[in-house]
Amino acid sequence: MAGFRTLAGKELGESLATGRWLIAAAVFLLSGLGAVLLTYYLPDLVRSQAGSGVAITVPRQTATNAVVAYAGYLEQLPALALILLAMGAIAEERSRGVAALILSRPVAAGAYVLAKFTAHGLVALVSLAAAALASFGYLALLFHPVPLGSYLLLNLGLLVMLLDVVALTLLASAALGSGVAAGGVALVAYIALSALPGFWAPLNNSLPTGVTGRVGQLAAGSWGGSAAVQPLVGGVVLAGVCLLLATLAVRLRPA
Amino acid sequence: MTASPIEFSHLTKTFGRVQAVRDLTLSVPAGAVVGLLGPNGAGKTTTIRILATLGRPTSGQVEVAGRSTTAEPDAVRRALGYVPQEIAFPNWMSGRAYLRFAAALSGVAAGERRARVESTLELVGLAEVGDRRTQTYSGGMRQRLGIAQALVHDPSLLVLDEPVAALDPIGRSEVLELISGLRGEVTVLLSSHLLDDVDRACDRVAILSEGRLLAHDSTTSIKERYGGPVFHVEVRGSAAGLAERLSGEAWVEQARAEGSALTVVVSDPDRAELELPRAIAASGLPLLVFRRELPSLEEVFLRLVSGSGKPA
Ligand SMILES: Nc1ncnc2c1ncn2[C@@H]1O[C@H](COP(=O)(O)OP(=O)(O)O)[C@@H](O)[C@H]1O
Ligand SMILES: [Mg+2]
Repeated sequence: MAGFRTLAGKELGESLATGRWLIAAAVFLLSGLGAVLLTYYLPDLVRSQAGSGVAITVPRQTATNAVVAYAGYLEQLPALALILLAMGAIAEERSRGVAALILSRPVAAGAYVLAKFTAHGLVALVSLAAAALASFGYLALLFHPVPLGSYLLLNLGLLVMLLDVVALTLLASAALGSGVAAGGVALVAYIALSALPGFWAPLNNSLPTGVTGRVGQLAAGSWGGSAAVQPLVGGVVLAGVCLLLATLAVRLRPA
Repeated sequence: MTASPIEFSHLTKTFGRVQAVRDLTLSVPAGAVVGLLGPNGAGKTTTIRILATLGRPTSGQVEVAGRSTTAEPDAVRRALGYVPQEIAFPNWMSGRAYLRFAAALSGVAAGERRARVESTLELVGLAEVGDRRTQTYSGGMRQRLGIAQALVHDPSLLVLDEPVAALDPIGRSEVLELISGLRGEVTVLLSSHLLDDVDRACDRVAILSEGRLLAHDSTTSIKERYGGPVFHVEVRGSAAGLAERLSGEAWVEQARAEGSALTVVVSDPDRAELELPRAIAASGLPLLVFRRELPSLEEVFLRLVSGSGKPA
């Protein structure tokens, strides 16, 4: 695609120059590690808070509890951070006039969109990898090692989910006039993507929630393997469709 | 015979109910500096955006060097350099880095890029500050970087939308001089709502109002054709009585006296050349100055836009 390499270079440079990497990595690390540590210290915390009256006792937490918390936390603040970091990617460049200078050159609209997806997706990938690695260490330290295959599969599910978040946000950014509007729409779309599959199994089996929603079984080692292929492929297809639509939106209204 | 740098044929663009451009047909000769002149809302930006492949015509078409902006947008994009009305760069990039980026996007070969970037920075006078972030540039520097990014791939056509509208008088002069200096090397189309800018920088002018092309010719011919000549007269003593007498004549459109100076706008210049000196002699006032002049572009513009645009 004409211009992709040059555009991707610009987007990666922008990620570095704006500190987007650092923000994302910090949010991911805090969320992942926070989930594991909180789970571990939860019984103590509850005990120290309990005053007179009813005694609430929280049973000792297991590695499975910690992994469930890890997945749950990563689907919240980190997803929101990715939306906030990507919502202006196209809308703001268009309203400031940066896009006009780029798209009046012989570049493909698809290259323009894909370069942004590459940069923002890479931020998600690297941040998730950092969070996954650090959390894996603490899981082993505080609980007992979780099966590596299941843990990798869970993180792959999370990655596909987060890439869908990025692609949805870029689509909203390409279709709407402002970054804030794009962020709002992307957030609603993400909530729908997380919640709706719960109501209909065939949908759940074709979207990344089909993996991330089974985190309990995954951590216990009772689910995995080829059953995970369809949800993962479904998530990748969803990202592809979003990027295609974003390309169309850019082509229709370049700047 | 090569194709004309820009050929608009029956270009029309509507936004909902607004007709931004109406049946614009215009051919720009190679090497010319052409001003697209019109008040705000005349359709200049719409026209230029279609030319720069950022908008699509509702009907009609635009060709750049024989290539259609809709059928072969990439060929058009290689042939032209575009400076939009509101120009912005990624804040974090330096001017030099941005030019390298722009050159790469436009397909300047890797081996030639450095030399192209440096000579373009030199041309627009930004070589010294090339390594500073664009965020720190003044309005004038930003506009010059805008022109640089439009020239870095060596296009045959440069298109600028209100290039000096946002600048102070000094920046304005610098940028107009820079554009004038390109005369003969590239064909230039620039839009402006200010007559003075067009008068200073352009050798041709196309006047646009409410989406319609009212006139297109060299600035001198436009003045001659649409302005109707103006005579400046100076006598010793007050010219007021003389002005009053002339106002009644059929060949006079308007006669204004200001102290001893008299300005006469005429409808029939041949008759005026004979009759005006006679009328002055008959008044008995000593004649000091008698001069036939072209009207200012401003007078032409006001006449055309106010609807009395018939050739004199
Ligand atoms: N995207 C748009 N949507 C609706 N109307 C538009 C749009 N762009 C321009 N217009 C209208 O088209 C007319 C011409 O605008 P424009 O080309 O920007 O004029 P100029 O650049 O000469 O000031 C104006 O009436 C303007 O309001
Ligand atoms: Mg305009």
